[in-house]
Amino acid sequence: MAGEIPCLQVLLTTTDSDLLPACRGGDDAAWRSLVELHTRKVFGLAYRFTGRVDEAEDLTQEVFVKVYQTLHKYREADGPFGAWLMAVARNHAIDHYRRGRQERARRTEDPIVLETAPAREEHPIAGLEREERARLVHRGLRALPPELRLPLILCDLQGLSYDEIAKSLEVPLGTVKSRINRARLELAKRLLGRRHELAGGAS
Amino acid sequence: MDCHRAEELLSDRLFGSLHPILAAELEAHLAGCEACRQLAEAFAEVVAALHSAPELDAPVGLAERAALAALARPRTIEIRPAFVLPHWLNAAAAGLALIALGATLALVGPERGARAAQRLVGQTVTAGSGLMERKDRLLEDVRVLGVVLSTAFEGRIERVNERVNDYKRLLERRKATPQPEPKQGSETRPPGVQMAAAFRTGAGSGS
Repeated sequence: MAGEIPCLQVLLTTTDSDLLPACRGGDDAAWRSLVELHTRKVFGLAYRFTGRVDEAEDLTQEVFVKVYQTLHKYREADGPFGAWLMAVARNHAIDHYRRGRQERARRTEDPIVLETAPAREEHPIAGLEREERARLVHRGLRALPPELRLPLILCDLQGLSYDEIAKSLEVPLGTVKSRINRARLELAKRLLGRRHELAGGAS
Repeated sequence: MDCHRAEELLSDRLFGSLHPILAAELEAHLAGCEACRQLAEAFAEVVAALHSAPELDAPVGLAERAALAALARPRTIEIRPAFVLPHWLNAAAAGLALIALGATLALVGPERGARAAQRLVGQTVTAGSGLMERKDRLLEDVRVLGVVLSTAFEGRIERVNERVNDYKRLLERRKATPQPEPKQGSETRPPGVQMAAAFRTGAGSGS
């Protein structure tokens, strides 16, 4: 039934290895449970790449269509299913990002969604500074050219190693390291520039 | 160390992957350069902000929509053979077959090889012609039987007897006619057999 949501208790107790054989056997309910387990991560990745909720939703759907079509290619020996799925999602997001680069440059993006988790017993002023910093960093991230933005997303938001990024983007390891450092520098200079502006306005 | 070089090393400094000598040089530069020191602090803040970005919640109903979108597409199922020979074994088998063919041709000579191939083709055509003739006789039997049955249903017993007698005569004629012999030069062979014989004869005269 289309509208039926998989039971939360079932989701909490089932694992990928429980669901995968059933999914391969054509069990629709098992497939929906599997998607439910991984949607949040895939959507998070899609949003980092696109910067828009509607586009990230479309991308998430495309990723799961692709995963469903290629489910027979996954082997347990390749590693955890979640890692395989995220690799498929990442590659799809990279392709999507490259394809839509020009279109993206013309359109507006959603309001800032990236926020940092508040520290415990944080002072209200410190909280505001943190939020302001997060906004600046996220805005700066969107403004980066793709050759800097992609490796930075994969490294600092997705937690991939330099080797994995080099493989995903098909660029040499040294180039990846250099681009990530340059991307961080760009964001740091933006943050400093903004602080200097504020300091100049206050004085 | 200049400012440009110091900027290049900020990631390695942050994650502690600098060589101790290079790290000491960088720290000495930062201690003396206010601009680079501020940049290094902002650099650390940026990385911290990126690393602490929380995972976003997916919109309500997205999982269901994504699952249904996938189910709506026909899935391609890969059918793998139960046993697959390795590529190198296939290549080796193909190589051996070529060597064997070459050796056979070298031993028997190209003319004998060609004659053997022609004989094989001729025998195949003869066997096919025999099968076609048997099929024609079977069809004839069925047709006669159909006439006999339809006459019986009509209740005309005298016609049934006539048809049965016709069938008996047909069988006697068949007995009098010899079965096709797949031998060379037979005049009573069916057209397919004669064609095969002509093929062989032509091949023989050509060699």
